[in-house]
Amino acid sequence: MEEKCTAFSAPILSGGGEVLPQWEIYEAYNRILCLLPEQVERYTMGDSSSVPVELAEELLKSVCFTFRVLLKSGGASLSDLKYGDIDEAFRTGRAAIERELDKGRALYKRALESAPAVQNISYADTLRNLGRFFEKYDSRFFAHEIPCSIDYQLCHNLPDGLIGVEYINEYLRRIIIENDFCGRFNAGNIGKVLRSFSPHYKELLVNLYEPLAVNACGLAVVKGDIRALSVSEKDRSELYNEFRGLPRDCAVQKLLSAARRVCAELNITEREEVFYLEETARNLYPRLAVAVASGGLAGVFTGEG
Amino acid sequence: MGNSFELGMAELEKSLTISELRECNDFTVNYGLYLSDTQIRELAARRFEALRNTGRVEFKKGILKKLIAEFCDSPYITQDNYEETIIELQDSFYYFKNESQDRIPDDELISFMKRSFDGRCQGSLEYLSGTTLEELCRNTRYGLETDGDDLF
Repeated sequence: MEEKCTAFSAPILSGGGEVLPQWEIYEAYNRILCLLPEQVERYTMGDSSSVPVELAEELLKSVCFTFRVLLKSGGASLSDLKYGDIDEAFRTGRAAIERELDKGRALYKRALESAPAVQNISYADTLRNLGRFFEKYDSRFFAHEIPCSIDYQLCHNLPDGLIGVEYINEYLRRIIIENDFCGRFNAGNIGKVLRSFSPHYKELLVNLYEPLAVNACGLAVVKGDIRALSVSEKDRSELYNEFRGLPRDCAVQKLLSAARRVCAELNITEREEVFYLEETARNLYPRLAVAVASGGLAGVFTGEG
Repeated sequence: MGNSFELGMAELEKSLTISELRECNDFTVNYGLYLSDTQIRELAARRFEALRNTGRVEFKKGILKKLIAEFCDSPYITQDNYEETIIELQDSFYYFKNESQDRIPDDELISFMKRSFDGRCQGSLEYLSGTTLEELCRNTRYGLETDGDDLF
């Protein structure tokens, strides 16, 4: 095999989870490599004894990804891969991927059900495309691939290294959190905030959750009506006074407290959802600091007036 | 560690190819064709070179045995041009696997090569790779009729 196969595929085995010792990975990897000829034969259905290097690499990445899902699911340990029945481990890995796919389908259903009644082209397209993922996904040969296009940007990017069904499931988990948050507000109020955020929000690649979350946190700071979502000029002036001259740590703490108040007010109790909003509040600080320094918060907290 | 393993795999495949080619002598001798040990080693080495040049990888058995089994009864192959012809056929095979975007199974490609070599090409390897196989792969890519059964 070409040397670059090793360079590409071995990190897949250890990526996206706990860090495993390099030499242990390569010991297991050498055994995994033995599965490649059979995978090639299955893929070509015995019609071809040779395949392009690029295809062999993709097949190997898929095998490595299958074992990664198996290791992460706790269905096997690294020593099982090094000393156990590797064919059996591969079959178990494929079953683990199927289980992840089932989880993904359930998450997709929840994402559809919880989608906010807000028009946005990239959001609608992405939701539709995510459904196609489950039709096109090839867990046998290309389990590491994501055969659909995802345009919609989440408020918090997914961690590097996630691929295949792992990526999709994490994306769906996050979009559900954002949907649930949006779903706690009146559609009319959401529309007002998004229009004030950008009049062309329906066509633009914008995240729908972030402007709402930011406004809700802002309103929590000034003890305004969180459910109304709209930040008035008076609220912005109060917010400016609240954050002006405030040291970074104090400002971040104030934002985090506001996020917790929002959760309490909206009855958000799920740990993941609370954490997601806290992260949004924490990430707000750099924008807020620049806006305060430039003398106005209109670009951060949006609303009529 | 990874590299030594892959080198070991390559060596194993090479020795498999060599033993396979030795077995070929058992039936090619009936057609007056025989490969010496030097020629066998050369053919095995050229297999890996052809794969490298065409950016392909092959596991287990290669296609040399199939090529020899198919072509050994060709009236255009003699002991004098046997090794050279098989080397060129092997190079053409991998090249045209790529050109056909892997849409033609090994057996079908070899069978087509043999029919054309003995038929339209009249033993010309240049004609085979320059026109006939080009045409086949072009037709395959465009989904056209590919069965050029033109035995004379």
